Amino acid sequence: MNKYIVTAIFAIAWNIVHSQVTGVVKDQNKLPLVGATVYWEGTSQGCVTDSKGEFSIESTGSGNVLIISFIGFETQKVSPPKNHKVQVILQPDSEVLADINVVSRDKGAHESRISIIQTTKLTGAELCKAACCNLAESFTTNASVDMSYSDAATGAKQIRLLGLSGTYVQMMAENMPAFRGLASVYGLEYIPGAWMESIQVSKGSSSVINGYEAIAGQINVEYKKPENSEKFFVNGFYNSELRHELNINSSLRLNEKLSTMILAHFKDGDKAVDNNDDGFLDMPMIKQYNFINRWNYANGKYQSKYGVKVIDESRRSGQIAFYNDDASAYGINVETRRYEIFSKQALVFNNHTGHSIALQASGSNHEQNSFYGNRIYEATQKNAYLNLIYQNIINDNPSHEYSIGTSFMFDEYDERLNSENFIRTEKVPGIFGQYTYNGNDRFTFLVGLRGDFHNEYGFFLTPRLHSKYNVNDHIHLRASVGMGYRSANVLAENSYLFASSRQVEITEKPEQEKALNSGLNATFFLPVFDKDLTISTDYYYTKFYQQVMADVDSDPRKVSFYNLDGISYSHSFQAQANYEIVRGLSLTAAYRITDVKMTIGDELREKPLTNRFKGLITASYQTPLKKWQIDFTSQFNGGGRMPTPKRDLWEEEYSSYTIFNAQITKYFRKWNVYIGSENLGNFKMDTPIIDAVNPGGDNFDASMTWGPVHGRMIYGGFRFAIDRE
Amino acid sequence: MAAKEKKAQEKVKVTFEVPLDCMSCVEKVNKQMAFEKGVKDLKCDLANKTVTVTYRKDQTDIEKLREGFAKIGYKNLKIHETTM
Repeated sequence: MNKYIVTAIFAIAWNIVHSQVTGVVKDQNKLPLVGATVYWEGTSQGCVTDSKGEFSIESTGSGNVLIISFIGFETQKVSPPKNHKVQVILQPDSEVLADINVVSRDKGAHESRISIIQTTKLTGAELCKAACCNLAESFTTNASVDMSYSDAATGAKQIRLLGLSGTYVQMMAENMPAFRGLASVYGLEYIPGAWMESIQVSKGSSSVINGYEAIAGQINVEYKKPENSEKFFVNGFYNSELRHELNINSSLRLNEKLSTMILAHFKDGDKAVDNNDDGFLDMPMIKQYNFINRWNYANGKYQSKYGVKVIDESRRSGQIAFYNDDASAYGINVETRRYEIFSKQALVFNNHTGHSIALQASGSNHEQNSFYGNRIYEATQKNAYLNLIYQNIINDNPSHEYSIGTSFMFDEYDERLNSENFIRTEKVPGIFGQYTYNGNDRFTFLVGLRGDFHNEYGFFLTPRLHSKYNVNDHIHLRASVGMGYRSANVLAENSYLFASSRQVEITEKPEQEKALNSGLNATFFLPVFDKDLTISTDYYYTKFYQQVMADVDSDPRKVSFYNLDGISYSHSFQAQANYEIVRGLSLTAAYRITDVKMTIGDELREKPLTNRFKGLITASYQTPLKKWQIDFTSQFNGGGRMPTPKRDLWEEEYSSYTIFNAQITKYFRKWNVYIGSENLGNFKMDTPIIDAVNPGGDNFDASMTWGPVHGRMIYGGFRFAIDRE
Repeated sequence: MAAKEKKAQEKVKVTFEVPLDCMSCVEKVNKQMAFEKGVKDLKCDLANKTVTVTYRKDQTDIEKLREGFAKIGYKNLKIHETTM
């Protein structure tokens, strides 16, 4: 007790003798920045902001300029008037293109406190907790995103968000739409883990600036950047199925303005594995070459980025006999080659207000030649994208921020399924405007509207609204509502269904898909024994006004594509808690319930092959010096409905199952090595392929897949990095 | 013998004044100092600009730790406090 009194008296006395400068540091949305550094210019005298973004620093005779800095934000200098509280608003780093640099790696995944849209960011640290060989495999420790198995033959990996298929999630690479159309089936495997600096997952309709396609949410990947990545990085990976991977990254700063980077990936799994003895490969044999060269240029107010990307992939699967020169056996072969170019240019007039103009441009050519037994599918897609964004504030008041712009999206599809040709061209010019209000510390909202003119579907409007209210430091509430649209690419997105004897039937011209998404999110930051217990709950409702159905229920011999005639919706409720129990040991527990129903035929039915619930527990332990890291994940996947069984060949329901993953990483100064296991419990489907012995027959179907096809997998790898000075 | 061993493993806590400006400096210090011989624990305090190193007396000393800091540019560091 005495100690406290003495301290208090001392503190008061100190304040009398030394005058203090106090203030608060906030971001562009006027939300407090915790942990920002504040110091007097030319001295080492400084402090960091507290949990309210506030600081108090002793006045100094020598310097009168305060320097305020925070990762991801522009450093600011202010001359504070004496005896006044200063308010400093930091603007995001010169990257007007909304890149977020995640430097802190102590926490792998975090819910953004400041974003108006509910966003979880997975950093490099999180991606090192599992093998994460590519984007598709990066969500094993994430509760919101599910990885589903679309079929037992091609190995295509689909993600799901809010119980909706990955095609309703807008995929972005560095804030530009990516992997649309033909690339949507295997695209998640086109981004190697070693290339990613971070992944942002946001739920619900997102900003209109990036287009109208986000319905369930948005996933943005930031590649490693030449200016802040390792000089040299190499990663090797090997697993018990004899798949090996090699990643080599190298970045070079040519001078103050110009930097370049090479990201190269090679993957080869050339062994035919059939552990379940059904005569089919459990996993496809994939050979992939993947390469990016990117350039960044920054000269004062002008910044630009350029990149080229090349992917060449061969994916072989089917019956083992096919690879033993039995020409009558069932084989699958998917050959893909994709070229991409991307560029961003920005002119920043004022770093503090964000006044800027930016142009994003990208183009790609995607070619897929494939066969699934006797079925031949060949397709090409040419894409071009332009987006011009102007950003400023109204009346010099940073509380009112707006963006306006115009975009153009071009897609040309040329598909052939056996002898039938499908050719489609889409041209969509659009304009958009978005306004952000951040009038006070507590309430912010973002309202956006875009109008697009589609050459096939005509003019349509996309309104979206997001808001955030901080009740206090411990309770943050968010609400969002917005429309989303997309063109269904019936064949490409469902090409995994070709690995079956089902007839493909397109009964009518697909309409443009249209849905309304609304959501609520409450996040609690509760101090428990000096540490924050974070609890996040959310509920999202998606209602489709138009949807292209892939009906595998009405007739088990067919897959029919037609426009929704009835209702289709998804309810998703999720709760998640994170806490660091003791130093170094953090736990995450999450639970989600999804209810996805649609009118199939004339009946409102549950969406087949969709888990009704998901539970996730992750434990992550790091020794005090971060020399060892141990991660453990268990996933509980709820059962669901199977498509209407054909002649009792499969059950009507599938039951729930649990998957365990574990990894141990040992860090050295420049190296780290890891060893781990996926599906430690060796859980696998008994009969992943229906009537596998007779792939030429009527009953053959490899698309009735709800769980893992292959069992326990052990892997190991190393990472070696030479850091930048 | 046992007493000698115990003495050999004696740990010392030393707090250096390190001009840490940001999280990336903290990261740099963590990465460098964790792998210096004899270092058993590390605590970076960005607010007070200090780094507290717990080390084994028989394996390293303050001068060697200073050399470790010097490798990442923090030279001639002042000692804030030492706890035996």
